[in-house]
Amino acid sequence: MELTSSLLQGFSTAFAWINLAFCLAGVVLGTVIGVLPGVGPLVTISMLLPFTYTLGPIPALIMLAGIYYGAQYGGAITAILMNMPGEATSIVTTLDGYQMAKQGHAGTALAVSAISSFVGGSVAIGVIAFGGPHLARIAISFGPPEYFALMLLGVFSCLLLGAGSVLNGIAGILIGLLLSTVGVDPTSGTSRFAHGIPDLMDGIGFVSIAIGIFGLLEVVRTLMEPPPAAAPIVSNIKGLMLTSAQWRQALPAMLRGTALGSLLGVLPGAGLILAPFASYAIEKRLSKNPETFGQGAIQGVAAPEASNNAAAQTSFIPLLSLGIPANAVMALMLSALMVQGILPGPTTFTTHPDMFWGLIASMWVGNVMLIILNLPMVGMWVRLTMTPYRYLLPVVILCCCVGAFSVNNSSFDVFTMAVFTVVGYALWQVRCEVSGLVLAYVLGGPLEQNLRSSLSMGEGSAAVFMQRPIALTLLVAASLMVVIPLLRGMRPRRDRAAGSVSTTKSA
Amino acid sequence: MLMVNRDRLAGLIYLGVAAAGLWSAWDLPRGTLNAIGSGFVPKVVLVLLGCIGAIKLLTSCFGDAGKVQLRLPRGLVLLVLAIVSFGLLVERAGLVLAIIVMAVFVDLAGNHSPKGGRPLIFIIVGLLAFSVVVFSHLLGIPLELLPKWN
Repeated sequence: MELTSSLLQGFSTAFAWINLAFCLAGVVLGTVIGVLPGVGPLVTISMLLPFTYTLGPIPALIMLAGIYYGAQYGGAITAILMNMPGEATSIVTTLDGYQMAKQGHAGTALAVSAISSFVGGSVAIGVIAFGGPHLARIAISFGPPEYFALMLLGVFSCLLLGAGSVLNGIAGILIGLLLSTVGVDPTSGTSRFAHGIPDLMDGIGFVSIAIGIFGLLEVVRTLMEPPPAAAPIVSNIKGLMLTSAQWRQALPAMLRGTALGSLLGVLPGAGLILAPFASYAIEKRLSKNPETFGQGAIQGVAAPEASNNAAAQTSFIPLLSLGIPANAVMALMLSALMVQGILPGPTTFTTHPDMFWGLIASMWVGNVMLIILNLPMVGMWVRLTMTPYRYLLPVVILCCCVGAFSVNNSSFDVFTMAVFTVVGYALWQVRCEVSGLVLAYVLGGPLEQNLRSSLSMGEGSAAVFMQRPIALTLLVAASLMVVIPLLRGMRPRRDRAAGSVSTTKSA
Repeated sequence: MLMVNRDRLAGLIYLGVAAAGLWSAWDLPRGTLNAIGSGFVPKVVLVLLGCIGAIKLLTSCFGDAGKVQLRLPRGLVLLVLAIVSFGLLVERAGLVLAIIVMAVFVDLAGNHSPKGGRPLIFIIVGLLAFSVVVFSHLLGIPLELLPKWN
């Protein structure tokens, strides 16, 4: 009953007009950027981050979340109609979605994708509502050693599915940690790496790093590629309703995708990217005629779309109940909350119940908005894909510049952003993982703080981590995150070298 | 064109950062394990980064990680110019000038042709209108439109 009353409280928060407005703004923006190639949720959220500082924490979080899961819906539209995944999580959708569209079933494919996303999202929201507080109850007994171990696990887990070598991944994390130490050390008051520059005393602005490394790097990469040639299949968008035979095929796939996505989304690291691939593979294995996959199988759209949206929702669980971001987007959300003076953790549910339940209820509302936005209005989004990049680019750059400027109303952050664009480019050239860098940057301060407290708890002995079973388990898990990809990286040495040569050629 | 082994470049970058960082952090107190000083975490991180750099540099002699061009692409240079000129102009010369210069650089950065012309004027006017409505009025960011004469 406690759950019902909390949810009711959440809905009353979500239905406040300001929150409804920001939810709508978020999901519309999310759909737009999902549809537009070259602008993803990372760019958009990092760009809008400074503008949310003046909003309260609840509307800010609701809007940023809307952008994030809205992009999962939008990404599917270009995947189906143009064979071009708007987001990394909709790559799998292109396999069967585009085939369906080519065979004249674009409407069905869009409908399946939107309905699957809705089903996946709605179930996953239930998982958050139910699972989040439970996880928090376990975590409430955590002390500094447990938090240190947990954060280490969170940071290292992005190594597991990183594209490049493990060493580059670790280097990215180390650089992120290093950047987080710039400025005045909160414990001793000594200035580190600031060299007397007053603007650096408070540390390097997170917004400058995030926009430079994520946003502007993506823009540079888009500029280096030739513009896409594919024209969207727009002629035949009809049949947005599913027949009962199609329902029978799609529904089980949706539910399996939802279950898998909800599970993988909670895992830190690359669970979100993994979810659609894994559920596609499972559907293909379970199918009586696997040969239809890749030829326009309806399950091949339903399962990954349900799965990626479910994972997008449940990846909020570690953030809200432990304060540990599961991926780079969640790291941005965490920083948005920290600016508002909220450090999410096991007590979020008791100290900020309106925020937690309001966010959950708004996600439901947002998913309803999205299915309305996506199905009847799909034609509008398709036309949007034809926006020339020439007009889009100046708007993006202006928002980045003004965004960075507005953090402290100073040009210093604008210059820092330019520096990090170059840094991001250099790191990308050597295949250094930047998502690990950003995660490590956000968690760097708390990591150092918890390490310091843990060591003084153990009176200078690292044995404090060994004596506490939860901390030890988490540390073992964290070291596995480093060891497993290292071992994996030793085997297919020749394949990797060949692969990197071919990527150089195509770049 | 100057090409360099990708792993070698990575190694050099990591070693360079580590060396510069250690030089800068040299005087920071390491403290004791019981009460770690402000230099403890940075130094540990820098030493680890240096080790990774050294490993990368060594392995680059054996494996072939592909080659990278040692040059910044045109788009990146022009974008950075756009951003830096915006930063330089916005506080003193006002938003109007900052946007005009930025938009010209951004237009040059794009891979469309022909550049400039009427679309650029349209873009600049659009950006100005957008900034005044959204940034100044809706968000209340203190941005001067015109140069300050004092």
